[in-house]
Amino acid sequence: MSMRITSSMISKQYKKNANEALNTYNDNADRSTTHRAFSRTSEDIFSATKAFKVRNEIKANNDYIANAANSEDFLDTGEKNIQTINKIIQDVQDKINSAITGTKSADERSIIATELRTMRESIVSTLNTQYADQYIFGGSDTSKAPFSVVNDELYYRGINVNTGESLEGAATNVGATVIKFGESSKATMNNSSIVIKELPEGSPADLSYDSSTGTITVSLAKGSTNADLEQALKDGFNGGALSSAFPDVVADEVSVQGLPSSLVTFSALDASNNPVASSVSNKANLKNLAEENVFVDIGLGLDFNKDGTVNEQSVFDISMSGISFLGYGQDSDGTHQNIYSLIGDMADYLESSNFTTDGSYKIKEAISDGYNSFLKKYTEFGSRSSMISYTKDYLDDKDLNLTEKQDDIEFVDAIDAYIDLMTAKTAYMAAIQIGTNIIQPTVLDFMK
Amino acid sequence: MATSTFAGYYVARSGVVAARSNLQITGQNITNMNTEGYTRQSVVNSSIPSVGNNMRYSDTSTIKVGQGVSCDSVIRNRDETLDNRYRAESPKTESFDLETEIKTDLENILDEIKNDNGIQDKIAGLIKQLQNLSTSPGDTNYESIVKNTALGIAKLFNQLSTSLQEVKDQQAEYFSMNVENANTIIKQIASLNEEIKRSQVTGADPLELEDTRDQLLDKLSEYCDIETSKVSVSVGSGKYVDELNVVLVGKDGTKYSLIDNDVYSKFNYTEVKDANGNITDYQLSLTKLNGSVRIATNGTTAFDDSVLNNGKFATYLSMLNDNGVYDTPPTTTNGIGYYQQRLDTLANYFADVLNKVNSSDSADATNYDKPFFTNGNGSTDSTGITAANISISQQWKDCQGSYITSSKVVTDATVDSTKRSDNILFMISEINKSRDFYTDTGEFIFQGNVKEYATDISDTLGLEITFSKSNYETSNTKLNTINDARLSVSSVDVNEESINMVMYNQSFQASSRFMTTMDELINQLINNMGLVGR
Repeated sequence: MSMRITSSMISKQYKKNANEALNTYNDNADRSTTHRAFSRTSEDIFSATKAFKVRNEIKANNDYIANAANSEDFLDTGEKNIQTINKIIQDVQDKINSAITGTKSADERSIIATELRTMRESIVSTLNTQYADQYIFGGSDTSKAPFSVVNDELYYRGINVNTGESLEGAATNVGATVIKFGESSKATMNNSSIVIKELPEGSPADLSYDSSTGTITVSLAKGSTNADLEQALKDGFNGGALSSAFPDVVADEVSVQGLPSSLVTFSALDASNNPVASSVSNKANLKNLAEENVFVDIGLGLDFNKDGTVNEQSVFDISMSGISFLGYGQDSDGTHQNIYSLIGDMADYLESSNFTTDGSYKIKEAISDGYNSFLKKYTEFGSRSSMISYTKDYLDDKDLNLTEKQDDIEFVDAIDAYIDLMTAKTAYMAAIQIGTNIIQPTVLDFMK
Repeated sequence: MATSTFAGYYVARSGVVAARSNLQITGQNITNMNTEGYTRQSVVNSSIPSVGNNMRYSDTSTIKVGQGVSCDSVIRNRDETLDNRYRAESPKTESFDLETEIKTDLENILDEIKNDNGIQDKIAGLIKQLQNLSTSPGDTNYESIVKNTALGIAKLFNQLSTSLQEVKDQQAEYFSMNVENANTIIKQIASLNEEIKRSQVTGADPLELEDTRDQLLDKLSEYCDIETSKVSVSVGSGKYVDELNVVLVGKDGTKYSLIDNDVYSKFNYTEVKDANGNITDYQLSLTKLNGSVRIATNGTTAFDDSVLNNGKFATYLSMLNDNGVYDTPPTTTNGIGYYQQRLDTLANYFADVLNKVNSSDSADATNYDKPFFTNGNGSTDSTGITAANISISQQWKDCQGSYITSSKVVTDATVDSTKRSDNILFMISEINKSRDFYTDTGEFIFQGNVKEYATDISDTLGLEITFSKSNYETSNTKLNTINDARLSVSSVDVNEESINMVMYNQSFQASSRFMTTMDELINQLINNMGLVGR
């Protein structure tokens, strides 16, 4: 026997179906206005998961594009300046060539010497160029003008380019705690070293000096701050254990800074549990300074080595250390190795009373060597420049691909959405039209 | 033929009465066609046999003529088996429906598909700002943008946590309202039981009351698994009436009496709070009333979702109390609490990663001297950070200058190392690093980076919604099929009733016509017999 069907069942069923048709219609209308394939994760989990992944990739990629574009501009500005310097050095060499021929009089040589001094100043001012508030040739510190001239000596970030001596005097570091003994200290502390010993909490600070080894030992309670260390050292220099050994040091100039923290870092212990002393020096390693890196993440898979240093293959180096172009240090015989000082030396020599053409060759050769290493650096720089623009193109392409992928996953084709909407509309119209047909007639309509 | 001369009148009369009764019931059916819960009624007719077939003065003639038609009773066209099946399926449907509803509420808060400005977006935003900072470390302008972005993340965590708690509070309120509703229904059923019983004692059939009661029982079955049974009770003079009992059936088949004719139990909703006034547990219990309830234990029985099987109550309990892997021991149901704690874990791990990287000593895991985030209660490290309390550390807030550790390594004391960016890059790489997430009790949750973890929250939730939705649809289809079968028996069809109307009208006319015929016959008998030749 077939199931008994009643009019109320039919109308109930009809109401349900018409509502479903309207729902589908509404969903499709939503889809063709938003163009979204789904509006909730629960509607399509698989696609949503992919969408989240692609979105994160797009955002990261945009960061890389921004970094690459920024680096490109940074390097471009650098390149323009290097071109200018290149031109200046070429001119300098031309001037020197004309000056050292025996035909020039002392007066003429003097004029050229003055010109040379002006030209070397313009090299320095070119190297102090800013790009968007950044001093591009400052290596890792682009916040301050890198080059300065003090007493006719060139300083790069406060370090003498020839000798490596710091304007700020002697300094050392125990881990991340940096101790500066002030500009008056100069080289007087160069043979000493410092140890920071850890005492139990609450112990009073203690400072001693062993003149035979030159070791300053500061003992501080656990949890002491850099200010505590600074005070202990100041007390030491100010009439304390250090005052007689280092009379040149001005206690008020001594300062202690923690790199990230205000807590003192204690000296590390060696295998036999003795603290390792940190030696004090007023000289910086110029080579390290010239080879400093400033890394930028441009999507090469940022990665860190086990020791906590950046894996250099995974980042892009945008640093331009000014002294890597100009040269630094001096030969064993005291010949300067940076172009600035050499030009100055040449100018001095041109003005010197015992000038000879042959005598000038040594400096001329040194300038020519310096120019060669400048060109080498320039070429290296060029390859970095092309690498970044290649990477940027690649990242732009990747962005296009990712956006397209996102489009495929998250959005519907406008035409498809419209066709679906029309189909749903037809279905809905049909449903309500049929409704009037199935609801209306009953046997009552045919009764007399 | 030994029937009475006038017997025909009675036959005709019974026909007229029956036709009219049927017609009246037809009228009742038609007028209640659209009344919710109304059950189609019909008159039970039977033909009256000839009198006293087996009595001493019984009719001995071979021709037995019946005495007309009798209207025995009016009945409801209803199949109790279908009612029971409906009430067995209904709690399941309601369970899945409620679960879908609650989880969709959560999805509205946590899902980032349509509005791309949730946690994942904010974390990506922080990375972007760190990338900017890495090109210019120590720049206080960039640092203040990073600080504001971090503040935005903390605020978003707070806001999401508040919204989730709102959902929980709201559902708890609905739960308590539903408990009240169920109690009202139970009370109504009990009083209907008594009324129906009393009517039956007087011999009346309170069909409309029974309709109301069935409707209430359907409603009650939305809350929990119930079973009904009828007990025949003697009311004297050999007469029996039915008493209705309703029990709640637990997961293990244990029955808890809800209604025993006119006495009933009462559900109680309780919030268990800890010393700080925070709700730790939502409880449902059953108190028997009036002494005579056949309930397993005396006094109050407390339920948790391990006792209840299906229905709104079971779902409320599990959604409000179950925290999945965060429970001790872990459970498999992810209630609202699970998602709250997933978010807490994310906030905690995220804060801890950044706090560690920004600290001065990467080797010392307990050193948090420059935290980004704290729990906002004066703490200076990552302990106790949840989505609700995560905030920018006071030190960072107060810091005017540079706070973010851009480098931890000093290569040369005479040269300023603070402008290097390696630690900022390390921060970015740590945020993007895949790690294992664990609960406080050490249960594994997820492996991936913090953004993937956020995606996983959406995915888990989406999957559960899809699952409960499809369960709901299956169960609802089944429920509708049962209901259709029920309607097919009980609902009024206008065609049928119209035809009945015509039919009973005709039958009324026929019976009346029969009476006229009888009248003519007796007239012939009385007035015209023996008058031939007069």
